[in-house]
Amino acid sequence: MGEFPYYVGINSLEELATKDDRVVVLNILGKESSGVTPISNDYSGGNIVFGTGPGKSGKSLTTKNGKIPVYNSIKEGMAAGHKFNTVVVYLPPSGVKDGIAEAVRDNPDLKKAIILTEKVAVKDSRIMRAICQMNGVDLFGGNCLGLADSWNHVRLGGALGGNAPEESLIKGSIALFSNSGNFTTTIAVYLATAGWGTTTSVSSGKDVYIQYGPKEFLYALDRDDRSQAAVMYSEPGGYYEKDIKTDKPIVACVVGRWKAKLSKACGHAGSLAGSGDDALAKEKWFMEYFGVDGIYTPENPVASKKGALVTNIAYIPEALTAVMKLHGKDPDFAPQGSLSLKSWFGNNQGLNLPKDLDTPVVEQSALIHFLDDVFKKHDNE
Amino acid sequence: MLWGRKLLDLVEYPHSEVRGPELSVDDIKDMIKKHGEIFIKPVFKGGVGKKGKSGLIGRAKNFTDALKEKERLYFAEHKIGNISAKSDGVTYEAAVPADHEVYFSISDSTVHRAPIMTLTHHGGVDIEELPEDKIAVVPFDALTGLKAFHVSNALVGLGAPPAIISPLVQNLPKLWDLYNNYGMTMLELNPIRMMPGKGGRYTPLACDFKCAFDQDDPAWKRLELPSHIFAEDNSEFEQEINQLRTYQGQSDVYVINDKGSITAPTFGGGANAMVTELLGEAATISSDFGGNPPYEKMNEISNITFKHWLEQSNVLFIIGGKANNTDIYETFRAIGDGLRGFFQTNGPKPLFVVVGRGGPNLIRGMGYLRDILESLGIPYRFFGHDSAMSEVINYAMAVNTWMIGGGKKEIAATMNIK
Repeated sequence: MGEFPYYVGINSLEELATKDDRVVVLNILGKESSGVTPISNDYSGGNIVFGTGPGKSGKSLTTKNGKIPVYNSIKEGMAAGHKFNTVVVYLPPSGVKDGIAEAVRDNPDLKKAIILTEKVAVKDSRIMRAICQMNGVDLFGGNCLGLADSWNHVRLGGALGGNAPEESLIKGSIALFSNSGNFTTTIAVYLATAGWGTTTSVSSGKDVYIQYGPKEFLYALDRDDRSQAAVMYSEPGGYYEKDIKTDKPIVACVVGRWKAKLSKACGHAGSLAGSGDDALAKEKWFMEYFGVDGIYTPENPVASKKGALVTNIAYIPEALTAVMKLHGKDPDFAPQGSLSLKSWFGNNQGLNLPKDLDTPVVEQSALIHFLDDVFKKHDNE
Repeated sequence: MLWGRKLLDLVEYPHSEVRGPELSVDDIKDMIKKHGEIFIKPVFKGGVGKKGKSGLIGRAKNFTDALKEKERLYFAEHKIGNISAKSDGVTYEAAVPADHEVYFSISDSTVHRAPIMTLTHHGGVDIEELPEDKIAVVPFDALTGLKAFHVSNALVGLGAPPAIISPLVQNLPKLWDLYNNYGMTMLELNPIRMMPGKGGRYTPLACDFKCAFDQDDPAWKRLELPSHIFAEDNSEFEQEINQLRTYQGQSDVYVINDKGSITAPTFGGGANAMVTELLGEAATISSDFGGNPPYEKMNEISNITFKHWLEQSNVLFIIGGKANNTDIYETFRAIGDGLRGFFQTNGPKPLFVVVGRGGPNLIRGMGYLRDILESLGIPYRFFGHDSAMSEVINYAMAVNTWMIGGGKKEIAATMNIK
């Protein structure tokens, strides 16, 4: 696809997570998968055709959209008449490469493979990339939280949006790409406070190999009419963000200057800089691309029509609004909530705290959330 | 080279004679006699950059100079950027007379998203200092590996002297086996000195060896290298936590400031990056305990963390974004039980607890932790995912400032701590 020197099958972001995708989950009855797969299946209208687990044929995973059958292998599931184009991998690290090989070998219709597993060896990552490249399969992850699309109401793999995807995946005009799975959801929640919703959300993972990287994402962004702009969250390590280009504005958030002093990874496995790819270098790449001479903060709101750079995720909504204003575009909807401090629980234990520390406890909010949580838990059970 | 030579022997790659710190006085004399000149190099754990430029390579043609250099370098200290290293011993390496020096490395490239070979016959210098047209960077197929033709084509393309091409073509592909089969993410030989032998044919002797291992690939364990090589500058705390490393749940830690006063168990790689950045030197540790750790693992992590850091901490700061799949109840129950256990064992400590979190079972988890803090009489504030993480971090910093300015004494008084 396009001018890439390697295989890229995705032309537009709207193709990443669609209503037509049919999914097989490897190790579907594992601890992680059995918790989040039913929510993905229900949110997506029942897009998971079967799961696998060696020795677990005949079992099933219960969801609101019915039971998902489990087979010993992909071959067995396909022999039962199931068809799919996407595989989601929840296998332990040592089994991930074999799972990808099995899916590619047994299903000639495979188009997407999403790896949730963390701590996958670099060697396995490069081998899986080679296998998928040769067979025309787009690979995502590892250690990612998958893909989600607020317009299509689909999430593939992982748990973007947590146990209540509708709360975070609000339909709008902003595409998300994040090295952090958690921040993919957190940034979506933050964007809503400024009235911005999302189109497609990509949790890229931050292993040494980012299989679906910023350049592929921006290529697909340019061809997605729904997406007016993008937010990208990046950490040190790798040259993925160097020499990017897109026709649409971006707000980039680079975090992790302190990691320059690390000699081994702490946090994301690939978030470890060499000589020229630390956080400062990435900040510079983005600033040069945007044509700005500083980092956007509320006190110093530096932005161009191409975008803005922030180093604090809390400034993303404001920076995005500023950039979009330069394009004459208003937010997607009225702001929802705020990011101000709201203490859900607290007790001074008789201390006379300074005023700025003695934040009032928002009892009503806590109660609402409490009931919300209880009901969701009840529903899940 | 002390350990590198053993790895090179696995794939029968030639290298200079290298001896370790155990070398006797007589052995040193013999080595000088045999080779005419030897290099004395400090033994660091982990990479320390350019040893030669930093005056960390001694050379000696006689016994007296060799002993002087041994004394100078045996416990040499070296700082590169923010990283300090201290030598523990020296190696004695034979000087190799050579007509040509070659640089060679294999790594995984984020530009090509494939393994690459970097090669030049202008070796023995910093690779970064060479112009691009003097270096060959060759991506190759991960499934078939580095082949002789990659080396041959690269050297011919660079215009390398014909006499060095064949020996390098014969030997360099062996290093892919080392890289690929033992969990490496970087392997570098610089310099390879082309030593003329009988009939004028060169032998490409590795005279310096660097490599990095992937800690998520168990293949390097087959090498049975001693664990102290990997301990690097790890603190006791880091080593204890690292022992809990499994694929179920993260357990990455790094000591930021052993005099810090905010201890922040952090959940998620993104939160780890941001929280550590904003807390700066106020933090004792940087951590990532996300990935839905089971209760037992989180409780063990909490016990270790509290044992090492709670005594000096003003603020216990439990922080993460809106979790996608981490069970907040399980993690908060594990942390709360650990905190209660610490107080039961060590007595009450003046502490303020700040929490910023969202995710599955949040209120249930907060409720459990709240009850424990109430029973221990610890002041606290919990914030949900509807508060900006950076604002919660600022709040924790403000609490720490207040504690330093007298708040700690006030809390001690309310807890009847004398």
